Amino acid sequence: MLFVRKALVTASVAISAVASAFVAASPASASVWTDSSSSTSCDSQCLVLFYNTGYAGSHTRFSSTGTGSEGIRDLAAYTFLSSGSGQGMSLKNHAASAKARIWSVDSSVTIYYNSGYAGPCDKLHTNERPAAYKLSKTYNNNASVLFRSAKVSQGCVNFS
Amino acid sequence: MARQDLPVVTSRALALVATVLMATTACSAPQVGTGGKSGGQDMDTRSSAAPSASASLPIEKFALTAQESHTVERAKVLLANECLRGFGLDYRIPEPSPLVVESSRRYGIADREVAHDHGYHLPPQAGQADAAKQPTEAQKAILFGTNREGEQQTTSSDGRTIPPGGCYGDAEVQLNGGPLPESDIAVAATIDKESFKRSLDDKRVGQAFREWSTCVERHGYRYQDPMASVSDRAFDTEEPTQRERAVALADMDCKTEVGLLKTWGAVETEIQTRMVKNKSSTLNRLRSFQKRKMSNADEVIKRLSN
Repeated sequence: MLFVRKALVTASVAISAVASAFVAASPASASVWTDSSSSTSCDSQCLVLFYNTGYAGSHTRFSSTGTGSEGIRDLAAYTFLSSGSGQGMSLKNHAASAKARIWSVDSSVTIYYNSGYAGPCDKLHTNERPAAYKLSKTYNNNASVLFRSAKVSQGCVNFS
Repeated sequence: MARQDLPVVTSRALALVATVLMATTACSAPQVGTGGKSGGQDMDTRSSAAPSASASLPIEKFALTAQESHTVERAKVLLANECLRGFGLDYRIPEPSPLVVESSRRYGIADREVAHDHGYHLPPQAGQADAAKQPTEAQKAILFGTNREGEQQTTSSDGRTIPPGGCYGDAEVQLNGGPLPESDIAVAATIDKESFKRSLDDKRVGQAFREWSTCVERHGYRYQDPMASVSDRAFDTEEPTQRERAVALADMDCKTEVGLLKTWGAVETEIQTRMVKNKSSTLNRLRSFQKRKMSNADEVIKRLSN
């Protein structure tokens, strides 16, 4: 079953909302949640997106339960949370580097150019703590993120 | 179309391939992969980045196919397990589960069956990693060479040297047969991304989007292009609604009606062909690296399986 993170902000609140330290998950589908940590020492799977290359600048961490497929269909509702350059900017199309913790060899996290898990993509999966010093196809063009816990090939071109 | 192993890639060969690709019509049935050297399994070759059923994009000739990546993964697991044995550990990484391939979403939804069954949602995944089979923290230190905080672990508890990246990372290093050609990979990745970006500005693609939009409006929905429909916030639900499935079906049928996937694919192919030609020596060098890696993987599998 695909659990999808619902948008945190209601229609009446602006997208570039408060950069709070911890954003709580909605009770109905609390399968991907965010905070401002840059640590990939999370319980199951997590992805940290950084505003600058080399894991620098403001960042936001997305964590998932590590079961099934879970993702954020549109990063527009999220901002860079931690202090650092880029804090408060929309996460969508502003990420330059990423670090992840992938807990099993079959798992992966994929960053997509377009929302709705579409467009060219960067897939991080080669080892427990894969990282992109500079994002490849989704550098400043990141619109959705998908965690998977089973091995699926979906046309993210793999050069290594 | 099964990916052909080209011995030498010349710009003339690429131009020829591009012509063939543009003349090819979409196939009606999924095609079976060649299986490759390591014993194949039937595989819908629509694992290509290009959703058009038969053609893959030019840059993919400088990339590992899904099947090849899977072979590399199998070899990696075998090497890593041999390394774990060397450390006296009981833990073994399980054999990689069979390859599962979903059609590319490069151009949004491109699979009518998926649209019908799941709308814009991804098909529910078949298997799932078994939590019970996961290594302990101590085993992970040797397997991945880092602790939970991500700090490198260079020595095991009984004083043995842990290779950088642990057994699993070291397996990749062995298969790479040398340093990863990062800048060559970056060149290829740039082509993958840039061609997509430029295709969005192409007049022919713009025209196809307009025709698609008109068609979709006939079905009662208002979207400027297929990227708008796949990312509609209304579909951010746990399960696809009936409406979402209806929109996705209209999306697919209109794509077929106006030939959007073919046009978009042809435009990207044209753009990529130019870009590939400009970077042919870099890409050929990258291809040599990939071929060496795959040959290393085949050797490992032959040596270490059963």
